[in-house]
Amino acid sequence: MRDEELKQVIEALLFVATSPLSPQKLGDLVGGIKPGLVQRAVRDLNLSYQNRGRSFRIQEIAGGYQFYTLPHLAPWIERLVAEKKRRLSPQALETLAIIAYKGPINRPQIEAIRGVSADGVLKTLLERGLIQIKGRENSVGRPLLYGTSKAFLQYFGLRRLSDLPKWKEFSDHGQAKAEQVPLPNGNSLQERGRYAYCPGEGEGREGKGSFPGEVG
Amino acid sequence: MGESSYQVRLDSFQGPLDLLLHLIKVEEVDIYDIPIARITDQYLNYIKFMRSLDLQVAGEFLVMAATLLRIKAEMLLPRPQGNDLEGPDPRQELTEMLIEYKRFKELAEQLRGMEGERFRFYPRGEAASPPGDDPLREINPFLLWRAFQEALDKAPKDTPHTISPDEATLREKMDLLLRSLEEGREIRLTDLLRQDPRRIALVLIFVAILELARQRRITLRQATPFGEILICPLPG
Repeated sequence: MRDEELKQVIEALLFVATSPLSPQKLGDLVGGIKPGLVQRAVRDLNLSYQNRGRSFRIQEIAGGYQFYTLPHLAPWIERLVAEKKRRLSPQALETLAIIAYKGPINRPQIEAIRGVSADGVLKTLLERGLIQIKGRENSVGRPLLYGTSKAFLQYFGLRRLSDLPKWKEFSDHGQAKAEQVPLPNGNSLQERGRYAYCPGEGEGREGKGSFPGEVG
Repeated sequence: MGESSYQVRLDSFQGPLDLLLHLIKVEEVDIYDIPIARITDQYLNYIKFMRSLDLQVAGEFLVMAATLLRIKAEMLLPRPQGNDLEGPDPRQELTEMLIEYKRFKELAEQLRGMEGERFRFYPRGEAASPPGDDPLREINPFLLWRAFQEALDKAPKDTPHTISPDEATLREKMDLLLRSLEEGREIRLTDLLRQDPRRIALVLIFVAILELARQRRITLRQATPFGEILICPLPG
């Protein structure tokens, strides 16, 4: 299949899909195309969207590709979308951070770190689907083990768990030292490396894009 | 009346460790060398203040108060003299807990930032379907459990206990369910439960649903939180 045709087919599939499609799945649908080629086609597509000033990009979230609008258009889209997005509570975020970095982890361990009961917050997170029960620990009482879910990655716009911001290293004397990882395009880790972000189309304040294929 | 702003702050502490970190910050002291007497006094003042406002002080805050007092007492005890081996710093465990908690608090703040940024991206199809006809939400055991509780609440509480010989079995319920699914495309859980409101029938239906879902012969969907749960057949 020619490159142009491949790009068209992938674009069409993603256009119709309402949930993310993985590179493997797309490759299979097209007919035995390697994920690497799919990735390249997606990069090319994004590049052409950027060059033509389109309002959307293909993003890779939680292992799948999906069309997303650029963030600076959010104020208009909010007028259309009825449901308001609800922010997570501080305790929910703290608990999620612990589970994301230390999971699979059991409830007593979470409670030991936060110094408060985790009963209610774990229930809420389970109900929102942001965490999952990963199994039971082989220790006294066989406590349940919690880990983050695919919905967690989607919620925070991550391709995979390892895309989370890095741990801060603590030196012996307690100065918290951020692990500064300079990125090729000169952004600091604060802007979260690959974490999907829009290029400064329309407004200049955003960091450089990390949509697949976007040039900074 | 500076007290009302105080109150807001108190409510916003996530727990005793959070409160301690706050005190360490406003007192500008070194987390690795906490002046325990001073911080303990401050901490107890907060607790007293909370109580004076009739706010319920969570048990965890009191446990921490006791811990602080214990450490304070240990610090006052004379250290063994003429011994190279100084005992461990009584504050060490607390310090480690605070450092660990602080680290996750900072990570949580990063997640907060990512959440806010992410809220501005909209996936294709976000606004497509009218409410009620949404791409159906995956349902989890907790929602199913809640539906079961609701069904139990609706079930007649004091039906006379009669033992009928032809009590339905789980097998029959499963077959019945599969047969109903062959006819239509999907069944509403509430409709299913209305057919036979007896407690045993409700239990059997729920077990049948769980069993069929486990065998991947049906799937369960829910359009909105607390909304109608739909039972749909799975091919194969």
